[in-house]
Amino acid sequence: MSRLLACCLLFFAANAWAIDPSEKLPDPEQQAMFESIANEVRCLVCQNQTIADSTAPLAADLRREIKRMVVEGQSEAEIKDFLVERYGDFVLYKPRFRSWNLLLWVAPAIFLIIGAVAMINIVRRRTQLPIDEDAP
Amino acid sequence: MGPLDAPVDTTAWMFLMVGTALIHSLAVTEKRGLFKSSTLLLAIGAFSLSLLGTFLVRSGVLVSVHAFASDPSRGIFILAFLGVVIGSSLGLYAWRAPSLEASVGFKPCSRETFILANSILLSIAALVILGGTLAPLIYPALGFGTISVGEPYFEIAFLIPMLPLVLLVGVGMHTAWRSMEPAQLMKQLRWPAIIAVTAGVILPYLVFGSFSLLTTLGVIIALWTICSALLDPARKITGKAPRLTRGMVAMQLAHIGLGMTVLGITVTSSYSVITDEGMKPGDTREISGYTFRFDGVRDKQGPNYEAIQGLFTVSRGEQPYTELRPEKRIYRVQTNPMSEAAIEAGWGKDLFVALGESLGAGAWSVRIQHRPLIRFIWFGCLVMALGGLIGVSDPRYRKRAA
Amino acid sequence: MQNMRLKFLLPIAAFVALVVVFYNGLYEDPTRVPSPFIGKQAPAFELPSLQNPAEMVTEETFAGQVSLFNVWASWCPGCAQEHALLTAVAAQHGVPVYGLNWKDERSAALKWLQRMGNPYKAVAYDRENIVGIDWGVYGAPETFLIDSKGVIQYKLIGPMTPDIWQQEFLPRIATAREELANGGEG
Repeated sequence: MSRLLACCLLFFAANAWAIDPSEKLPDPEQQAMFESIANEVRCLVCQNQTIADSTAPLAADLRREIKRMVVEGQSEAEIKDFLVERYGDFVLYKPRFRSWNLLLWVAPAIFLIIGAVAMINIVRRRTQLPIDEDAP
Repeated sequence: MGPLDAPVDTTAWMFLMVGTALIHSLAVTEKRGLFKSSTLLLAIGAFSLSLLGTFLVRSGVLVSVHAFASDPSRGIFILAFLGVVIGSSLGLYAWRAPSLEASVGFKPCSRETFILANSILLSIAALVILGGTLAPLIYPALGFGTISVGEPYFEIAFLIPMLPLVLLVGVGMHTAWRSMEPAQLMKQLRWPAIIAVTAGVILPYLVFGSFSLLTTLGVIIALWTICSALLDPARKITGKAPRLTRGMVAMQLAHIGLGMTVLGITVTSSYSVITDEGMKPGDTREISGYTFRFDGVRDKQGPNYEAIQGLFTVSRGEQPYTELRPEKRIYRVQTNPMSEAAIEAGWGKDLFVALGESLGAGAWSVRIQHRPLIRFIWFGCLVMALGGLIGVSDPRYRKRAA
Repeated sequence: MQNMRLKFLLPIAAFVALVVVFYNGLYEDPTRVPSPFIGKQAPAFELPSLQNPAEMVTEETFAGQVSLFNVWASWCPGCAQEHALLTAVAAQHGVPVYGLNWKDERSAALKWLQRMGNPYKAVAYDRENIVGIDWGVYGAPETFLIDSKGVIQYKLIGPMTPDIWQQEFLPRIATAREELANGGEG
């Protein structure tokens, strides 16, 4: 807990972002893939930041590994698998489409359907009632 | 904009949704005596969410920089308080609410229907956000392993109920109580719809040069809300007026504010440019039609800090536009440097420059941002608040002398 | 009519369920990232030894014994905090301890061992955090309990304490040793 707090206090103090522009990959497509992945990976030390934003040394190490894999030609899915194998689902900001995670993604649609059904029932019932009784 | 800190930002968000549903549902209860139990539940919900927010953020059950130390006794106290207050309210609700049912009705095409849809959609939005906020707590408790929910989820999940809702706002505003002819409604809304769709498709392309389905949808919906809200004032000006009561003006202003905020959010999230550059003195970068030239750094003494100040000259084409001076300050009471960004704010856009790290040999890492219409987000909220104030000042809420 | 009543009970029922979840949650630390390696084979690795760069330390080094793999660094205050306890309990129960010197400078690490004492049968030198990432290490100190077959049975995040040693490590060490005695190598 104190590790987390100390790291995040440092972040607020330094207020610098972590990806050094001089470290950019020469191939713009690879750089774009790297940035897109880095923005979806949670920094495990400062857990409310992505590794793109975090100045923690671990974040720098993870960025280095991701760059290595991007340059080696691995796909985004393979790189994410690599991270999840080692750190669990928690390391990704966007929960993946896998069994119970699916519930989270499907929830809005399910709620909409329930809402629509409720709406239809209520309106149907109210339509049949007299428009006015005595004024409220 | 920084990363979403789940318990803090999401609780405020949920509260906003339920509070909005509440004030609209209250209108129906006041006018027709309907929806009493939903209004009651929304009121309990809104207050409960604010208490829940305190618990979620401070207790340490969820990851947050604002959590107190890891000892659970503080959390237990707040939880006990929560249990008593919310538990008794919901218990009372379960016991007495069933007897509140009124027995008047309304037709499908009526304001009551739209406000009902409003309550349902806003509640869905709040529930979805609640689900995302609590998932990291519930999933491990149920044995499904850890899960992480961040901005990407909330953005998409929130839009699903919200886009239809904002669309319906424009229609519901003009629907009469109890019953209305759908054909008459459509006829009234014809012009706002035409203007919104046309402007929504053409303007982003004209101004920003690119076209994306989601962006266009957002812009159309925002403009639609604004145009629909302006319909009655426009008719008043052209003489075909209905009488504009203070309540109506309040509603129109509030919805115009909503449209402005949606417009600001849509445009800025689609067309903002944020870039990190390594620049030496004399280097220029062109971002969204503005040329930024780095003219080096110099030392500066502040009242309680020492700083390195960078100078950036910004021009638009050949015309000089402005100068921006971001700083890296070291306040004398601490040792860590703080980056002080330079922002040129305007109604149409913000320009932002911040110094990062020195790269040696006079070169610096620099972050430059162009944020179109970002001020609209805040200004839209001000307009909404103004609408609220005007609504509150409506004389029908003053107590009548006995 | 029963049906109507039911829907009014829904909010309070949901709330009670939520309170139960919250109550349990208060006793967990959400910042602890559980290891996906529990019950799985320890990742293979090959690193130079801290003391003797010519010698290599690999996962074979632990084979055939129930051992601890402790992630530490000279800059880590928690490591200094747990060091005495770790040395004592390992010696007391005859559990071999191996070290992973994580993101450290060789000379600083050697000095630290000289000053604090060296309980490790071997120390792997992971300056660049290659092996650390492979093992899902995200801070120091961390301690893995590995059984004789090379399966990770437990991962401790943070310094060792007497309670954790008693409640989490000892029972698992006993079980792992029983298996070793019964099953032989394998």
